[in-house]
Amino acid sequence: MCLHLCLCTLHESLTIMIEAKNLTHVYNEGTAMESHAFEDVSFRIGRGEFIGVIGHTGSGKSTLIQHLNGLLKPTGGTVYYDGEDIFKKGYDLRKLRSKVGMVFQYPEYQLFEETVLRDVMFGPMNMGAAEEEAKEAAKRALTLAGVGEEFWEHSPFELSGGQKRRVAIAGVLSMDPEVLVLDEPAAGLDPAGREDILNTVAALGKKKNITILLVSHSMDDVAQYADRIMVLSKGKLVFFDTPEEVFSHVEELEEIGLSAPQITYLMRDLAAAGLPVDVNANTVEEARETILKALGKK
Amino acid sequence: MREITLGQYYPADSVLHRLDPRTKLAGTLVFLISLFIAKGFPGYAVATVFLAAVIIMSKVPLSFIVRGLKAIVILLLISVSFNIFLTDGTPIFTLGPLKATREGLNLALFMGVRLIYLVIGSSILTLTTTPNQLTDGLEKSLGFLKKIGVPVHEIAMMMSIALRFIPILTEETDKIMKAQMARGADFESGGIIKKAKAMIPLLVPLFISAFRRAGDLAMAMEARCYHGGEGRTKLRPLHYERRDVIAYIILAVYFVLMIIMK
Ligand SMILES: Nc1ncnc2c1ncn2[C@@H]1O[C@H](COP(=O)(O)OP(=O)(O)OP(=O)(O)O)[C@@H](O)[C@H]1O
Ligand SMILES: [Mg+2]
Repeated sequence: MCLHLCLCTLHESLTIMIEAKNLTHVYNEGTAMESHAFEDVSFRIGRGEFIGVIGHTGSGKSTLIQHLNGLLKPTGGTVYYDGEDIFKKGYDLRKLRSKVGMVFQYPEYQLFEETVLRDVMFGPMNMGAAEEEAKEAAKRALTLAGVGEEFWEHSPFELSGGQKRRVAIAGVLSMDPEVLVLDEPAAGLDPAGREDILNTVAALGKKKNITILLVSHSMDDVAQYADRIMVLSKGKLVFFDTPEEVFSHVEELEEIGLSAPQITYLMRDLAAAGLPVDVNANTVEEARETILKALGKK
Repeated sequence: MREITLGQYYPADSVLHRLDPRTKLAGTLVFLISLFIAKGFPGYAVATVFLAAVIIMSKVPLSFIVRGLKAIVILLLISVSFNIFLTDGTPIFTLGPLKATREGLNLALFMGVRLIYLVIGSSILTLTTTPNQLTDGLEKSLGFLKKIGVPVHEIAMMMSIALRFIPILTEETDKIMKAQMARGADFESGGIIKKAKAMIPLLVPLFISAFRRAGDLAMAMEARCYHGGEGRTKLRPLHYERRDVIAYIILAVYFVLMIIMK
């Protein structure tokens, strides 16, 4: 059922960027610690899409996304990038990694250089850029990620958690990726920091037509930013559809330990109380529109 | 990094897993000593049967046990070739200035087998015993040393923390490695100098995180009023069961057999 949904909701006009076919990953295959991270997952993602990835803890989100740039090898199935099988022999994975930028959970722990600028230059330098070129790319990325110039010559270890996070994101942006995969980039940040980082990312996606995959535990965040939402549960892809469609399945979501955005619940209650609002509104903006309309104020 | 089986626990439900850690420590010790007693073929045959039986009883897959040997392949090769070529005796063949002798070959063979058995024997101990059990067992077995002022509890605690941190640090290494690879780091190709340089982006974050963890742990222990071993009781005190008695009897029989065989 799911495969069906996933394939047919991809917008016709989009070129397919990433395609996963029957992807399966088993950790420690053949030992007592064997654990199935996910099984038989297939999907297609188009250029410029913003995809939200949600799922209960341990549902396989982090494992799944690490296949998209070939950091993990699948135990079954494969991934196509721009139509090419990335796990076939001789495929240049390093080049792929500059195109599919990946920001891990708590990326601030991978900083290592003496200065912020040098740390961000690490990626471009690895991709063979000259010193000056890398420096320019790093400066651009730092500006995009919202790290003020006054910090560029600081040691990355002197920054606050949120600033470190931005530097880490800049470290990936500096490679000028076509796809940006972020694993809970806002985890552990204060509300302002959260919104700031997510807004930055969303704006980036729009501005440079970057495809974005955002792993998040916050339904409100994915509802607000994502064009489509991928829902994983116990290693299965259960939904891959627009936020309206996914969040209309509130009961199923709750069954797998997730929920709908708070706004969705509010809309449902309002509708039940007799106010003619659109129950598919799941961001504050949409809710505002439909409530005002229902109240005849617009 | 994931290949380190030495010091790693393999969860399974077997008699060996349920034995008291002291029994297993004693068993490992006896086995190691017996390897040094054994001189000829019969002794090694008995040791082989014993080891095979233990491996089967442990329910740990053989492939997992053998993986621990990877770490000593080079050591093994060196010691075997030294023995083959540097022992005096009847020559079999020569390789340039090197002369292989029959006695050397003999010695090398036993030497190699002994080394392999040593490693397998001790990895079975760690594969079937959790680090906590292991240090509990050590602490209790070596408790008598306290009388002469050896801080047994503290040493055991340090060991258990060190062992506990091996999987955490391997996981951490794996994570940081992946994160740097996502930024195009290359840990495989290049000469020694390039490889060593490539380790910097891995080692700096690893050390920082190890220190951070150590600090956190110390703080957490202090917050729970840890103050050394004096007057500290155990949640699960060690008890000998019937199976331990049986194990000791089997061990004794094995040891006597080995002494006779020598
Ligand atoms: N390195 C590993 N070795 C063995 N098993 C692993 C490893 N990493 C993850 N797993 C297992 O794979 C499953 C999926 O883990 P994964 O990290 O992908 O989940 P997740 O959806 O990202 O969870 P979270 O929301 O907590 O980050 C879990 O059951 C986990 O125990
Ligand atoms: Mg995760």
